[in-house]
Amino acid sequence: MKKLISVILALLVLAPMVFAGGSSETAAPADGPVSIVWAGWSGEEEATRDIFTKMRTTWEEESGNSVQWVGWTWADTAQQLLIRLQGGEQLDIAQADIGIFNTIAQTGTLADLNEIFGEEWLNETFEQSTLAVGQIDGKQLGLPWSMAAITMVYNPEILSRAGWDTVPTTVEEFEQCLADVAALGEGIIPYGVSTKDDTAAGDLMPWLWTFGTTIFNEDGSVNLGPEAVETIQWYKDMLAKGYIQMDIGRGDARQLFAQGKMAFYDDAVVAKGQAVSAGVDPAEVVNVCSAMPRPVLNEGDESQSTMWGHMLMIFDASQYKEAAAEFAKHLVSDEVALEYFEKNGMPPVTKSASATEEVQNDAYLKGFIESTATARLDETARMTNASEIKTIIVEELQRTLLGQTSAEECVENMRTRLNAAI
Amino acid sequence: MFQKTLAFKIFFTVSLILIGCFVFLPLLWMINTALKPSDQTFSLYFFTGPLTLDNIIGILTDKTIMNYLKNSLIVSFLSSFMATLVSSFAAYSFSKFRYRGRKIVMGAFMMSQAFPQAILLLSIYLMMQRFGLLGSYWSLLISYVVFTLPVGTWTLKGYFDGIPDSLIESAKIDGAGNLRIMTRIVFPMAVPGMVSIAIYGFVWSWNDLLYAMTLVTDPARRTLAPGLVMTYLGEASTNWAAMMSASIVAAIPVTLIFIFLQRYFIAGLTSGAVKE
Amino acid sequence: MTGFRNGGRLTDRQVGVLLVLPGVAVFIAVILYPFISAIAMSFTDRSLLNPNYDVVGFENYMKVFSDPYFLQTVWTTIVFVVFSTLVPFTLGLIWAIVLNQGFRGSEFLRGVTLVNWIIPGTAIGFLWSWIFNGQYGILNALLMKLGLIDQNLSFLGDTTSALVCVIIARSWQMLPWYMAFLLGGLQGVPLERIEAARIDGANNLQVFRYIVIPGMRQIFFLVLILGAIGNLQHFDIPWTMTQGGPARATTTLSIEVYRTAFKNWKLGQAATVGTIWAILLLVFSIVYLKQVKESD
Repeated sequence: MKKLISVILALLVLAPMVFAGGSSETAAPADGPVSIVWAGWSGEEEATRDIFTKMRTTWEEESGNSVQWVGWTWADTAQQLLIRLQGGEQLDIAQADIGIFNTIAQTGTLADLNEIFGEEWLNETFEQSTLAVGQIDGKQLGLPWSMAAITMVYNPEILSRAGWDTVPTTVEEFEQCLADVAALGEGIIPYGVSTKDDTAAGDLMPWLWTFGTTIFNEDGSVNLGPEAVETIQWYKDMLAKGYIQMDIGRGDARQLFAQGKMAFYDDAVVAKGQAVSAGVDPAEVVNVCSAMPRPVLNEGDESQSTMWGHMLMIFDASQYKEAAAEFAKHLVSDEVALEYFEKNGMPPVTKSASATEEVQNDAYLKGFIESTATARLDETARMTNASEIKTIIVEELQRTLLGQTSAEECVENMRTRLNAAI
Repeated sequence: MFQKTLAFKIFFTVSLILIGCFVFLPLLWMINTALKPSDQTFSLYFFTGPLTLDNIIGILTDKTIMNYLKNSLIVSFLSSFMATLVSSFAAYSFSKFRYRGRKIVMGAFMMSQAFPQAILLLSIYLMMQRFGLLGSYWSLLISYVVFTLPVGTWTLKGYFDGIPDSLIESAKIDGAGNLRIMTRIVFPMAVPGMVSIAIYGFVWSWNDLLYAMTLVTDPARRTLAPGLVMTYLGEASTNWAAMMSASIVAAIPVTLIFIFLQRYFIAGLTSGAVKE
Repeated sequence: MTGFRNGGRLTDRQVGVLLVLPGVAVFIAVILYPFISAIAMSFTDRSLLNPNYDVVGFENYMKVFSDPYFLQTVWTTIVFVVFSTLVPFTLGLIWAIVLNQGFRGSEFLRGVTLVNWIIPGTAIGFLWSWIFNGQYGILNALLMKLGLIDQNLSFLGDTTSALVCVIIARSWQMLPWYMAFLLGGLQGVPLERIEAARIDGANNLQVFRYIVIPGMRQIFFLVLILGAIGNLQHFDIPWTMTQGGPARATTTLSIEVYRTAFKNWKLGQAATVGTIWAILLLVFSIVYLKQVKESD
């Protein structure tokens, strides 16, 4: 009996020692065919599952190597990549959006692509502006894969019913247009700006820029000038007039927009996906879903938008960086990128692919690409606690929209909490 | 149990209708959505417009989803079996044996349900990796067994407590060994209770999302809950109709098993605990 | 296992320990060790971004306690746990009583009721956010058709109603579970005692009050405790429906822990919230168990 108890106790004591560490043995790199691990989310989604499989198999046939896909949901990818990195499981290349890229880059586990691909090839293949999105502290940590801006999307049919054949260009015109849409009385939500989850912070930023302020200064301190109060007040007014609504996130906006129950909202080029799955012919999407430059405060101002995109990351600890790099080149190659564009509307980023006629002449893509030239990075895009910052902004914005605080208090609360968080 | 007085009849009818609506209307709406053509998902008709089996057939012929379903069935059955077995042993031990440390272990089992599972995940991940179990069914089976263990042990202990010691004593006098007493006398009397725990464990593993997504990343071994979310809850779009269809399709085999087992399940779900 | 075959040589104590051993082994590996390391983690600045960390003493605890919203989160958690346990418990009890009447189709209804319980939580979250949606919601459409409202209500956009909606959705998911347990309990109530009471002239309410409830006391206790713990851990439905919003109205401790660990990457701080939660629960259960003992 005593023996048994002591066995249990020994187990108790030993367990932590046995489990501690968590380093994993990795096979030495071998010549000949290798197996690399590619992680992300699009290989799981029904819309992209097939093309991702094809991307892998075509390269496997070509190179003789194999690719093992590891996938999660888009929303969980950053967290799952981090867990995998902490465990040291094999991970060679991963798909990332700007937010995920930022998170993973903070861990210092990404390889500098300048060393892998050579600056020359990178500069030959991509525009400086797209490369910049994947650069942190002079290192090229992300390889651009698909890029465009998050800008405003509108339904031309609704606008023309409301008497607008051109899109509003100033905030004043925009408000008038929203009023006209509301006056249609068809139960259409004029503007589906996000008022819940992280996307609400993402949507607020370009409006803050439009009104002439930012959340943070260049040096990282909190800015939130007096224009921030104006912006929040403007949101409040729009809510009071029924132009915008509570409890709308990106997903809701996409649903409503696809059903023709919303005139404007903010989205990236992937907006097409929901319309197509709601039964709109991919070629006709542009008739009910078009991109436009965000209205500006004063005529002549620069229209604001946020950068959006997918990148590829190669991990420093990978034993097969060369194979991963080869695979990455395959993924951004014209052939693959153009098929990805054709099937899923993902805008290619290489100079050669984006210069092709089919990309240049794509009416749907055009609006997104035009906004890309002046698009900025999300203000939290280089911060380690981006999600925390966004949560604070969204919570305070919601409090104000729910009438618990005034616009002034909202900005002051944001300032206090952001100062504590940074 | 209750006399059918007027008051009781009113109570009965009102409850049947109100709770019935609460329980079944959302479920019917789900089925309704699953049967609508995909471009009608958000139309508000209730079985009165165009209906189609396309979504359901789409799910049934989707090899990936069917594979997730198969994995879920395997993992849920195995884990519920293992959890029942391990809990039965532990509960029997707690109920009929006395040794030092018993109460501490019992308390620890109960408290283990009181710590956020999200926090335990990272350590469990590292440990599974250490043992080379990552990505295997085992990683899930072991986690699920542990999360069912406290409920199972405590419920079954109540059950075993209801078995009179005299029964065991007399078997001993007849020369039966411990193994024989356990498998021939004690466990058979607790079958309904064990079925309840098996079902509890089954549903736990069936519904788990976070652990399943983290511990098993190979699509070939992925279970249904994470599989559905990954497939239909996309970066750019959410396919509600398919998600509802898949949930309904997946629920059918399990419901049939439940209906088949419910006699044991409901009769057993702790009636042992009641017989003090 | 070999021990059983020559069971004659083992004492009862040894058999008892042997039986509990498999449970204890997995328990130590999967819960106890992670649990202890999580408590240790709460004194560090461990982040998911970086495997290296420093010990920071009570800094995380100071941070959590100085967070002006922490008490609100605890309060929301209490409200969520209490109502998401009591509502489906009450409805489940009534439903069990109704289905226990053994009318035609009652067996079928019992089986079908269980379906709610086996639909993945995320799908349930989506279903109910659609029902309550303020723009294209089913409930709004229904109320509109009945002429009860003339403008859509934003159920999930308001702080009070959002919490109510989340509780309703969670109750819908768990009602079958309570129903099943309570139905088992009802069937275990000795009918002889009810009949004896009838002879003494007891009416339905008296039978319920003096025989059914005392007969099911233990099962009530078990179901309520298990249900409450389940709700404390619960995460999927509020996360899918509201992500803890609007304005933190549906942020429970479980959501806070998830967000701190897996969105803000602060493992140390998340472990701190977890540890505080475990301590609160421990205190609560000790006080509770003492009272139960005294009242016995």
